Amino acid sequence: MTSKTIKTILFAGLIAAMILPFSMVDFADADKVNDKDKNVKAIEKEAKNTSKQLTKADKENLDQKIKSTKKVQDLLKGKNVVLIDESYHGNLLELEANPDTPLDIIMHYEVDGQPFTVVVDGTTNEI
Amino acid sequence: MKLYEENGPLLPNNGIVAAYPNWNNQAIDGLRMDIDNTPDWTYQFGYGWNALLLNGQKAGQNWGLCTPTQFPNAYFAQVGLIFDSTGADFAWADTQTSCNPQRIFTSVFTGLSGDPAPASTGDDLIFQITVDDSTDTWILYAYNITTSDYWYKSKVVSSSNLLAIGTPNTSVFYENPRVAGTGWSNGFAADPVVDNAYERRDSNGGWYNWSSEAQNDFQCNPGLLSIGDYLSGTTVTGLTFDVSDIDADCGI
Repeated sequence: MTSKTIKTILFAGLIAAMILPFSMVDFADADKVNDKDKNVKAIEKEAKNTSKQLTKADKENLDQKIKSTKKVQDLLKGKNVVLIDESYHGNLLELEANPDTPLDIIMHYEVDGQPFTVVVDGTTNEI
Repeated sequence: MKLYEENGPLLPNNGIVAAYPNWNNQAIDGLRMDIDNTPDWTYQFGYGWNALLLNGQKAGQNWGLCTPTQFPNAYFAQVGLIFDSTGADFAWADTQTSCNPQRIFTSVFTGLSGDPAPASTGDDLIFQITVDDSTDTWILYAYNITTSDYWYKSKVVSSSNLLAIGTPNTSVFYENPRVAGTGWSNGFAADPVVDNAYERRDSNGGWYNWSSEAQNDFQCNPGLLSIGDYLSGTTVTGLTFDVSDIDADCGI
């Protein structure tokens, strides 16, 4: 390869680099994720299993229990309270030590249009 | 229990976004964001919050994403970190919350009259959004590796199989509400970093580095600097948000 050819290639490469906007980044070689995967997979498995546990009736009962709790009533008196959704919390180490450890349930409400979160302890059932 | 009064994260419309594009037309059904060191944050009175968010939009209808009546035809979800007067907090939002944020507590359940801090400075975190084609189930995850605490929320969204690509609504997003009369809040001890983001490919279910990405600013006014001044790196090498340049150039 002649020196002229090499210079031409380098020049063409430089022009190409200048034309390509900085914001366009293309990763030709994608490396498969390995790190942290074990724990993430364990959580994914747990999420699949546990999300089936709370039935519609369970959710309604929990909602009623929360709304009948005095501290909730005091806080939300006269306000428009709407149950939005529920989610779950757990600890992977606790779960590995005892697979039967219940998850905490987090109930998400809107109170006069503002988000409101109530946590139900999975072990003690306390709000 | 805590009643939050701040407005929270919405669709990416004011901030710096690294979006999943469609240049390579890679079909994906999952997105993940790794924050290896939770930033050191001090709330500055008079300024708004900041957020590092992972966004996912259902492939298909691209309007009505924050309109509950459009669910399940349209669906959008986000999960990540909000930095506000209570410190770093996990949060999520979706179409059915009108994109209004819901806070998540994962570490502190006792002494609820205080302000829980699910993520402390330096904690190693993972956020993830996945779609299960066989059950039409979306699952949002937040995982604090340092404490082993995790949180998730699942939702059945009919006819779901893929995340939309080529939209800032499937992205990693640094957001600031830019409350009128205030600048961006520079409460970080060091510029916040998203260390990695990954895609889950529909073809084989494996997790990979993003095959490409697009970086843009949204409603950064006057926005005289280039995106490279607001953001450096990639989702593979680590995204560093230059808060001082953003603060100086993206103020109202």
